Formats: sequence, structure tokens, C-alpha cells
Amino acid sequence: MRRHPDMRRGPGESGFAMITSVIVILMTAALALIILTNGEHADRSSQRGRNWELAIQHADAGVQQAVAKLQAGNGAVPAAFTGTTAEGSYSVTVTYLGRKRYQIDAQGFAGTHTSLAADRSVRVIYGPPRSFKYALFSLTDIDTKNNDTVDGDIWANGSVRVDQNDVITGSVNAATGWVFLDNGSSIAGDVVSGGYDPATNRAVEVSTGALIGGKVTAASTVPGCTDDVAHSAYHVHAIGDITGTVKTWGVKTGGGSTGTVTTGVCSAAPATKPMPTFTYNPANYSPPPIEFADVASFNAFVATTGTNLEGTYYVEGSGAIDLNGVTIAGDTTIIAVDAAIDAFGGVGINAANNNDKILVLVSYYQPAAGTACTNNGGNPLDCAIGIKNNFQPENNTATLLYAPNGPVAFKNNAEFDGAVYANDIVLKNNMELVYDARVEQIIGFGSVSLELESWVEV
Amino acid sequence: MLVVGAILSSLYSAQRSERYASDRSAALDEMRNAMARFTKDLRQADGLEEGATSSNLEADTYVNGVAARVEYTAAGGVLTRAVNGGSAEILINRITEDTVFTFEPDATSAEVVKITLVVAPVSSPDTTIELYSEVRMRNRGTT
Repeated sequence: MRRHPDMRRGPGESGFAMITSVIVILMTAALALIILTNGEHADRSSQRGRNWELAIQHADAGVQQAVAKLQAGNGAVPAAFTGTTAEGSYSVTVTYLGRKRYQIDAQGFAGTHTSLAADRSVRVIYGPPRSFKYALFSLTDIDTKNNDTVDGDIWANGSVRVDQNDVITGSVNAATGWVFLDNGSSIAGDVVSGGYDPATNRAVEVSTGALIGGKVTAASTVPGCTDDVAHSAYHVHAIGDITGTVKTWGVKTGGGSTGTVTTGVCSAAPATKPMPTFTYNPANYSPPPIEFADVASFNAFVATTGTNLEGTYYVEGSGAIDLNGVTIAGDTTIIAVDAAIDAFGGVGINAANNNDKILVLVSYYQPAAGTACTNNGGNPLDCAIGIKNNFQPENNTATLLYAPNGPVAFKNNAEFDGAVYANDIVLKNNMELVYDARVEQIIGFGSVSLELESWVEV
Repeated sequence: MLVVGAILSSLYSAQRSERYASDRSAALDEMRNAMARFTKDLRQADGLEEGATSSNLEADTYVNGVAARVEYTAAGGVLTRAVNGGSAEILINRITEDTVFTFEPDATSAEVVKITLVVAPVSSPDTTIELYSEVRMRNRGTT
């Protein structure tokens, strides 16, 4: 019997080509599969990354849409809404937080394929600009009297006098002037001056028993201190003590103890600060303001309703608004376009309850040339805001006194929480002011109505 | 045998190409993750702390909606992230340059932070992948 020719090869080579081919094909297929998988992964991660970025952009778009709706509606809270673009969509909810603060929750979506789609959420809060950060702010000087207490920071574009036994728990900045601490007074924070008293050549003076708890910088408004080449001014005179370091262009005199003293160093004084602007817009207030054409009409109104005053009052005309004996029951804003705001009767201004409330007194009164707002003698006349005694709107009341054109003066026993921003500030004995952050943001103050307060991805 | 040799040579070449592509893809994923983390942190920041440099910065921001301070450091070819002074987490390895951050207008008053990551993949060290992003700090000036 003849064997088939293929059967003549040895058994070891049988099917070798086929096995090799199969192995090569399998390896090629596996490699191709891996290449395709990697390619697909690259595509997917790229698409996912694109959607991830698009989602946050859509959430932001929703926030901007909400801001536009708030502007169009004069602050009326819009209903929840959604929006769509060619690349994705967003859904937005606006919540009113009170006192013209708004929380905007926006969720952005991008992508259609389930595994590639992305959604991101942001929570954004808008509110009035942060305009009032100091307990006392003066465009010129600040003069205190004995035994005053200020729990907060003080800024004066001019000079600051801290009288006997006064206690300032914050920092003091006299941008172009000097700082004087009388006997037994104290400032817990830092002190910065920008000029010096030409009568003494001293920039900072710490009298007997007085204390500055922070560091002292006697700076200059003149670049390079070229106004005092001989180093004869900008001195820091300390009979009392300074806990922190002292830095001055002049020298340190007096026997008080200090931290490390560096002399002959010219520090640039901080720039003066402008008064925060105020813009009256009736749409900012709810309920709407009550407007009075003259002061007499408003005084008559106060005489009948002043025991539980709340709301917004816009008073035109000159003269003096009399708030003596008024009690504050809720958020109250009084805007005097030309008039002074006084309380000379001695009863002062008080709170009607202990509810959370803010009292804002705005006076654009400008004293006539040659007159002086004083805290000596009788009534504090010729002041934009002058309170004789017992200005005590406490009981959970935050108070802002704002007088950009004239001085604010208190006589005895003013005790309140909040801030005073004025062209000038004149205080008498025993005032107790505690800075209250509730006055930091008040609608109408600042360059815009609302600004971004926080932006958080949640 | 010649045919088999040619095929195996092709397979070897294809396998090397695949390793190269796979490694680039992995590096790119790692870079994307690092970039996403960085931009999310910095977008919510209220500004940079003093002393920010091209290889280190600290910022007060939010992590999972909670206020936190994060620190990013690029050193020795490694980019790390630490939260509230905790231990540093490695975000990415094999960055070829430690100067990864730039600032607009400058480091002391930065409004925008830019990050450029250049990574050399393990399997193709002669090549690099570059990823760039910039972020405006939304909460700057709000505190």
C-alpha cells in the first residue's frame, strides 16, 4: 500500500504552519484589541474631561442668569429655573437670606452618554459690599475723652487721640497724622502713624501708664522721608510701654519698655481711605421707604410713632431731626439729605425690644464754615449727628452712624454696638462702643448694590 | 522561518508602540486628575498666601464645601497637595520641571494662577506630555 505523500513527513512537523498562523493571528488580534481599547479609553477620558469643565461653566452660567434676574426684578427672588445651551444645561435655585443677601445654588450638566456625562454644583452668595470694617472711621481726626472703650479697630485719615484710661481692643491707624495715648490708656493691637505732631515732632506718644500691645510703625506719607533728612521728627516717645516692635524714621525716646526698636527706617504710610459711598434707591427697601419733603413733617411723625420706630425714612430739607426719646423696634434707616440728626433732650435713643435689628442713621449735613461741633458745654450743635446723653440702642441692635460731610459727636454715656463712619468724630466720657459685624454689609452702601460674597463648589 | 521572523518583528514593534501609547494615556489621565483637583481648589480660593513661588503656593479655599487651606508643592519631579497642614498627597510623578506655577499679575497680588505640567512617561522618557490650565480665584477679595 502506498502512503499519501503528506504522510511521509515526520510526525513532529505535522500542523506546524497552522499552529504558528493561529498563534500569530491570536497575538495580532489581542494587540489590536488592546490598541482599540486604549484608543477608546483616551477618547472617553478626553470626552469626560471636556464634560467636567463644561459642567462647571454651565453652573456658572446659571449663577449669572440668576444675578441678571435679581437685577431685573430689583432684588425680587426669582422662582427656580433651568436653562439649556448647545453644550449642556443648568438648573438654579435662589434663596433669600435676609438683609439683601442671596444664596444661589446652581447645578451644571454636560454630556449625554451616561458614563461620560458630568454634573457639578456651586453655591454662591451675593450680598451688599463689605463697607464697614472699623468701629470708628474718620476722614479727618478722632478725639476720644476719658474712660471710653472701643472694642474694634480705629481708622483715621488724620490723627487719633486716645484719652486717659481709654481702652481700645483693636488696632489704630492714623494714615497722615499721629497717635497720642494719654495716661493709663491702652491699645491692644498695632499702631501705625503716617505723620507727626509738629509741636513735638512725635509720631506716636505713649504717656505714663499707657500701653500699646502690638507693634508700632511710625511711617511717613512722604516717599523716602525726604521731608526729614535730619531724622529730627517721626519720633516714638514712650513713657508707657510698647509690647511689640518699634519701627521709625526718627528715634525712640522716653523710658518706657518696648520690643525691638529699629530707627532710621522709612516706612510708607498707608494710603488714606475714602468714605464708603451711599446711593439711595427706594427699590432697595422692603417695605418701601416713607419720604418726607421737610424735617418738620418727619419730626411730627416721630413724635407720634417714635416709641416703636422701624422702617426706612428719607427726609429732605434742612434743619435738625430730633430723635430724642425714640425707641427702635426693628431694622430702621433714617436718611437726612441736608438735615442734622440730633437728640439733645437727654433721654437719648434706646431699643424697644431685644430682637435682632439694625439702626442706620445717615446725615449729609455739612456745618457752616466757622462753626465747630463740640462735646463741651451744652448740646453738641453743628454736628451732622449729635447725641447729648444716653445713646444706648442696645438689646441686640447693631447701629451704623454715617456722616460723610460733618462730624459725629456723643456726650455722656453712649453705649452701643456697631460702627461710626464720619467726617470727624468727637467723643465725651464713658462711651462704650463694640464693633458689630452686622453693620459691615448694608444695602445702598458701596460702589455696587450686590457683590460676590462667596463662591463654593459643593 | 523568514516569514515568521518578520511577523514576530512586526508584533514586537506593535507591542512597543502599544506600550508607548498606553503609558502616554495613563500619564495623561494622571495629569487630568491633578489638573482637575488643582483648578477646583484654586477656583474657590480667596487669594494666595504670602510667599507663593513657581513651585509652591498656599491658598485658603474650600474642600468638600468646608473652609480649608491647601498647599501645592512641586519638588523633585513630584507634585503634591496637602490640606490643612496634613501629610502631602502625591498627585503626579515624573514632572520634568518643578517650576509649574505662574501668576497674573504677580505672585503677591495674583488674580489668576496658571499651571503647566510637563510629564515624561515611563515607557517613552524621550518624549513629554504638556498640559496647561489657568484659573481665576473667585473668592479673591471677598473676605
